[in-house]
Amino acid sequence: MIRRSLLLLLPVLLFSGCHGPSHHGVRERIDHEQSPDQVEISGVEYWLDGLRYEPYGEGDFFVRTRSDQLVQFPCARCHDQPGFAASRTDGDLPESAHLQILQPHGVAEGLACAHCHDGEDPSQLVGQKGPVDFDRVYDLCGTCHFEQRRDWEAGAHGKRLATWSGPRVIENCTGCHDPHAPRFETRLPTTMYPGSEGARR
Amino acid sequence: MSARLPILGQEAPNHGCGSGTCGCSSEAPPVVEERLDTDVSRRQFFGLFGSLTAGVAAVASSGCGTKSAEAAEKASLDWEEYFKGNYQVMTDEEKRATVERLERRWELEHGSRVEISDQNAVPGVLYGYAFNISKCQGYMDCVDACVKENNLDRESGMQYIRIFEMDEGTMQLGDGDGRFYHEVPAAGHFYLGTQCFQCDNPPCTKVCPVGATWKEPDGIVVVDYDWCIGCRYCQAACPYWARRFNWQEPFVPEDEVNQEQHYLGNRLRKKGVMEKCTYCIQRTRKGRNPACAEACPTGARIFGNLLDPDSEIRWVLANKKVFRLKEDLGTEPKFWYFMD
Amino acid sequence: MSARTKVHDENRPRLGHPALGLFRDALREVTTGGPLYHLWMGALTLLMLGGTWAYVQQLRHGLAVTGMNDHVSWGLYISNFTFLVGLAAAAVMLVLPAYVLHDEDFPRAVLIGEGVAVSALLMCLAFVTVDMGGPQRLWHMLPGIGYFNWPDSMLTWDVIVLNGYLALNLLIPAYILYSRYCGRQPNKRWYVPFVFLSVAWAFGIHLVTAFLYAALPARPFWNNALLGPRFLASAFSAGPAFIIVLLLIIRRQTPYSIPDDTIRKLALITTVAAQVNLIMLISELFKEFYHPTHHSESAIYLFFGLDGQGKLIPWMWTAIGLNILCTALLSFHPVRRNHRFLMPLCVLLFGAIWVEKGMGLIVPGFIPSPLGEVVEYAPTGIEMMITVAIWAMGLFVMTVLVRAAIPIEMGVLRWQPSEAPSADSDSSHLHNI
Repeated sequence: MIRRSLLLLLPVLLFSGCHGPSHHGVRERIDHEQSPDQVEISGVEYWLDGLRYEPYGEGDFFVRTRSDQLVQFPCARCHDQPGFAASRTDGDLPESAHLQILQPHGVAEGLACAHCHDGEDPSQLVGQKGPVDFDRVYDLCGTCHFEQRRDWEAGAHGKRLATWSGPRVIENCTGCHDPHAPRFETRLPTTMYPGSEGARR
Repeated sequence: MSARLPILGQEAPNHGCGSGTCGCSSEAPPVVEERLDTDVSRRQFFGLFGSLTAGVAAVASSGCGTKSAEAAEKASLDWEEYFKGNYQVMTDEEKRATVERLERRWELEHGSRVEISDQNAVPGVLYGYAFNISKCQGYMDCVDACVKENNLDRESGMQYIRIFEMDEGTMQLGDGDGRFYHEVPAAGHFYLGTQCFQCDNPPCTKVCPVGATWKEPDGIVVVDYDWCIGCRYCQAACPYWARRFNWQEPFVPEDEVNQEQHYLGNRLRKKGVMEKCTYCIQRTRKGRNPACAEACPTGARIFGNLLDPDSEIRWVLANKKVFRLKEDLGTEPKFWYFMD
Repeated sequence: MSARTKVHDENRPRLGHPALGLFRDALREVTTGGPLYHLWMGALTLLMLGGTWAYVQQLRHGLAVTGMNDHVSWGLYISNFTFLVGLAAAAVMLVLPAYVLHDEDFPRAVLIGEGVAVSALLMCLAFVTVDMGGPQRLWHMLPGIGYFNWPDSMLTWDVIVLNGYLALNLLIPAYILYSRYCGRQPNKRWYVPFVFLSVAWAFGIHLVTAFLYAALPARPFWNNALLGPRFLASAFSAGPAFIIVLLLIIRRQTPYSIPDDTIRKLALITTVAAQVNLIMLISELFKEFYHPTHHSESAIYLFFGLDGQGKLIPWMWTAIGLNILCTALLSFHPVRRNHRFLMPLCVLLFGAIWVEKGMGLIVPGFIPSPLGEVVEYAPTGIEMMITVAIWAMGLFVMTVLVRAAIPIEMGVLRWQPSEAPSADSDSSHLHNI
């Protein structure tokens, strides 16, 4: 009799075993299902509307332009005299036009303005291989920060704008970093965990 | 300067793929066929009641003014909504129908329009996320953007994303502080964000007694808010504390409601149901980045298609040393951490 | 109670189906009684009314009126549910010897045990229902019209085993009592297979409920192999302890006689199970504290507190202390055989296990959270009112069942289709099984 009652338990035990550890890792799944064909999501370009960008190198991806974001661009609005001088000396000239640049980046390491800025033509930058457009500032930054540049090209540094699919448009170096103070500022967080004032530990 | 990025297209009208009915329907998951007969019997069961109320509503609306007609319409919508099936086993037509009912009900209740998408998973896509713990500075812009994008309850201050201020020298989350509010980044600390990791082997979906939460073909773990019975077993099962429960009626100010919604995403919830991060399904299925990735001022958040060998996320997995939280549990999160 | 005399006085003919007669007689039986009985039932009713009010508040404002939150997402309700599953399973400790091992002493107590199981199961189902965020959507679970996530979800297993066990524990006694009421000998061939099933099922409800928790790798406090066995041990200790108390009360308050031997054997079961439970507790404590890991943090919280938080510490130490004390004292034969000691010891043991396997098991599972945060839990007034009301409901049902079953068991309540006098037979039919 007891044996019969134990038999009744058997199906219960059998059923509970039917979800064994048959799972493969997500890496195997990726290798198995991946496809070189690009996924097309129609209308995805819409989310890039209003962004200005230029192709990078061979045109695999695009980089957001810089010059259109500069408030005092084009430089010739003021610096229209030869030798970098400004023509406007009247009262309209903002005395503090560039005074926000207090501790230019790299000064401690021996960098000076002229290491990046063209002494003759303020509307462009200079790198080791000649003039650099503001829109291609990555060529200048990447001179020293080559590791970051490699990551940035590949997508591990910087950020992609608006979409994960469709044309790859990424932020320029100066889109996130102030070229004169590239380290991120210290500030209060935008929000907090509810009731955070009294920190737990 | 550290320029903030503009939030794109938030107020832009829909076009192209906007309404979610574009040609990106995925193949039906295999489970559908198994469950179809179930669904049919449910429909037969409630069909009679449904037609009955529809009739009552029609009678009511024919005689009286607009107000009572609207009340009758709302009652009829509520009735049909109450007896609808599990979204997981709905046909595309049924999905469309419930979405339209929900949109209409919102219009009747609030006088404004919301767009609720029923867009299915895009074939060939498996979403993945990478989080750079050397980059995150603890600004919590992502948390703020997530709350707004996903219509999270403002009253209880619900948040999907947690950012932990970690002491250098340890990876133990318990030693970190998830409740900091001071100038960041603080010296001697790094920052580590968590949210739903959309596990490939999710412990939460397995335990749901009613199949109200499941993994979509594109890897996103979703909740059918109308099917959930609120037992919170999934919340106990999640090893990453990624699930949130509506302990009370959630509240979002009318003018702050994000009107671009998805049935499985940021549409407004009700009390007594679970919810969670869906990698902003309403955005990502249209090709957009999740709100957290878009809001991040430091570029610590990388999102993309794991099945695309040329994607950024795949480059990170191949070229950086990555790790995941609690890998020993076999949950296979699709959310990796890495360092510069 | 005067059931015996009353039934004999009303020796009148009754018409209709015997089932109707049983219902009518049972209804009369449970609605008549002395002042103490009415006071008892009245008090339970009041508590249930209070709980109903509290539940309406909870339905209106959501589960926010409870002390639960996203960190500790199960609390007093699920704690009580877990404990009561054990109480329900304890009926098997009476059924097993009576029906399966043919122990001559147990049958008189068997129906009482099944009554306890039925009430405990109803309480279980009530506790689960009040814990739901959307009880109005529970139909989603119905196979056929809903989506029953079986066999993946342990919760669906629990639904099956609990409802199945409820059905078994309703059907078996109902059949036996009905046969008896009709003056027939219950047919063994009909019910004994179900008795066997019920025995297996009792172990099932316990293991499945333990697996519900043990299934979660997210919660190392529960995710251990000992959880199921410990559930059984504590259940087979608390359950019979409760039944001993109940039987002693019935023996004192009603003419229904329960042999000393039954009590003696039940006390032995309680004691042995409590001893086994203690051994398992020691094993668990050893594992948690010999070399504490991060997985031991819940146990550290429970016994010593974590991050300066430790609401459960006094409860838990009291429970452990009582557990050890009761087990030690019950291990002495003279103490255990003296009903003056046995009754309070059973009550204390029951209480200790209620703490240990209720709040002491569920709440620390959530502390610290999987992300290492320590957020404490304390039930609110509304939660306690609802909890008390469900216990009151269970005791109410149990009283009704026992009240109706005893006169039938004693043979004083019988179906009398004609003027023929009822057979004042002895009530030892079960002895023959």
